[in-house]
Amino acid sequence: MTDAAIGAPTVTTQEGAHTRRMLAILWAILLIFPLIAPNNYIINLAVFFFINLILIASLNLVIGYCGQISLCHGAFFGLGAYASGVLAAKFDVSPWLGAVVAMGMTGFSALLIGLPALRLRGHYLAMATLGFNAIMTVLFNEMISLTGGPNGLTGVPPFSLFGVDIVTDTTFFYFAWVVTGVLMLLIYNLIDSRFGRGMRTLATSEIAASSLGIDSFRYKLIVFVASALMAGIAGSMYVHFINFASPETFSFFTSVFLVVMVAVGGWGNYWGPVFGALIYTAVPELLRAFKDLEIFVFGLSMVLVLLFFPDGVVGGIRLAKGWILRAYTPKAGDAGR
Amino acid sequence: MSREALLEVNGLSHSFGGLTAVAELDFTATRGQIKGIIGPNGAGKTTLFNLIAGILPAKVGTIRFKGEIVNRMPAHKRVDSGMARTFQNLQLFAGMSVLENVMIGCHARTRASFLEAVLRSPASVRETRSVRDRAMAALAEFGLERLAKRQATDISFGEGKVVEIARALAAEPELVMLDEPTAGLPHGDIQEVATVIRKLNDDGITVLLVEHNMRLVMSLCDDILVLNYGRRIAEGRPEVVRKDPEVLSAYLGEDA
Repeated sequence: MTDAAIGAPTVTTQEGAHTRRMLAILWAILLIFPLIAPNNYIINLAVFFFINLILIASLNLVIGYCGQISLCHGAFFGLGAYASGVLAAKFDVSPWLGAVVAMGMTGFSALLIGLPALRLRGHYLAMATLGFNAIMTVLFNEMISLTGGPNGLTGVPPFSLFGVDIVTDTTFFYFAWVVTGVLMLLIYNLIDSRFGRGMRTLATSEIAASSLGIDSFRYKLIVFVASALMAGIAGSMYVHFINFASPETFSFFTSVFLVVMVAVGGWGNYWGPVFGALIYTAVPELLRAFKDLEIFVFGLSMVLVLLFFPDGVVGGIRLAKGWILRAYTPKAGDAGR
Repeated sequence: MSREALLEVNGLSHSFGGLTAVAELDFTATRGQIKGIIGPNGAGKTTLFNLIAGILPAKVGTIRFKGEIVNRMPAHKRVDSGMARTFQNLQLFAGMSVLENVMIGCHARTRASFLEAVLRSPASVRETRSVRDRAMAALAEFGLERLAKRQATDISFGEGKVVEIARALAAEPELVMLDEPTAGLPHGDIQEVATVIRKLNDDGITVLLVEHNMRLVMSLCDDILVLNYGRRIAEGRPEVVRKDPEVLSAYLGEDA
């Protein structure tokens, strides 16, 4: 049973081991990245790649696997950043403890939103989360004594470990490398499990899922809360890395772009968010000379993906792989369709 | 009819807006029976399945399963308690392999939680392995091992129909509801499905069978319930139902 059908993104034991090996190889390559990176600016971008990967991979669980559109991932990211940042900057709380509080707050907010909104089938979560992001943006802007308002939150200290501050791009790179690697592994463990299979049915049909004994409400709620927790971790990493937070980073647009990146990478695919995060990190940098052009590019890429590559970059790669393999193998029926 | 009743339906009614789909229905399926449910299109057969399975709320009348009233029991709990079903239009899960679809069938009979999954506990890994073996064996029983790794969306309609039966059986049900299992199948496969149904019944599983293929229904079923406009117009042994004037008129449009 070694020759899996070409391009079938299934998760079975053999392929499960294969995916874990791929993850290990990718992370091993990333380990030496700071040594071959030409300058600190590139390493700094790699840190943002890790943070974006956590955001997009966690959102993919909700959108890609549970089939629920969440439009407040930016707000969870922001809540994580502000909770952790304000506690450290204004109340001298250790960033580590702040990160835990940040996770608690994002998880609890997700529970409050999800309890009513996920009980029903349909796009109720999209509407509820849309409102939540708007509320959070107002709070970030208006709670000036805590957040600094539109001017932003300044003076956020870095994480420190054994008395050493994690301040340089390279040290933070390794910190983010560990955190993101662990989260990516946990996400894969989830997908490749009884719970994960139950979760993955929800995107097709909640009715069929419940007819097979899956409590769809419970599954959606747990995944939504877990996803918010991860966004909280990303927020905490972000604020202690750049030592600053500003409301527009966590606006509704961020939430929309994160949804777009889940789609562009390939929703419901484990590797999709890696491509999504790569694009989301690189494109704005490449287009820095042209103000706001990335908004146009992201919008266009969403349209192109929906029209031509419903499975995103991952789906496109799979198609290309299929063409190449077919072009180089003698015709023997239409195997590997 | 002295055998134990597995499913008892009393005074069950359901309407969609002004349209009555099921009206004051009473019937019983006894343990070990193959009970056919037939009727013209729109007679309320699928609605009846949805009510029994808990996809639609049963507000009027009662549904008893194993002696317990299940009207308010959520659909997923009814699977735990021993119901399983297939769908008239395929409901295989996209983005998953055929094998994984059958593995989902074992969901109600396994336990690993979210935390065990994330932390990849030995119990969770062992469970996944045993479920995979069970699902593979179930596919083998239907001669479908070759499909195991294929995407569920890549197989034919007929193959999908059989995979759905395998998936329903993986839930180890006491009552299985098959919604038109042979619809769209080529002739040769229909006989195969009939064999499957007889075999699972021999294993002690009670079957509710909605089916349009009359020859299959007449040869398989111990007992047939005939619906028209949501009402029971006849019930009884195949040879009796076949000659019932009201049944003939519903099917052929003759004046009774």
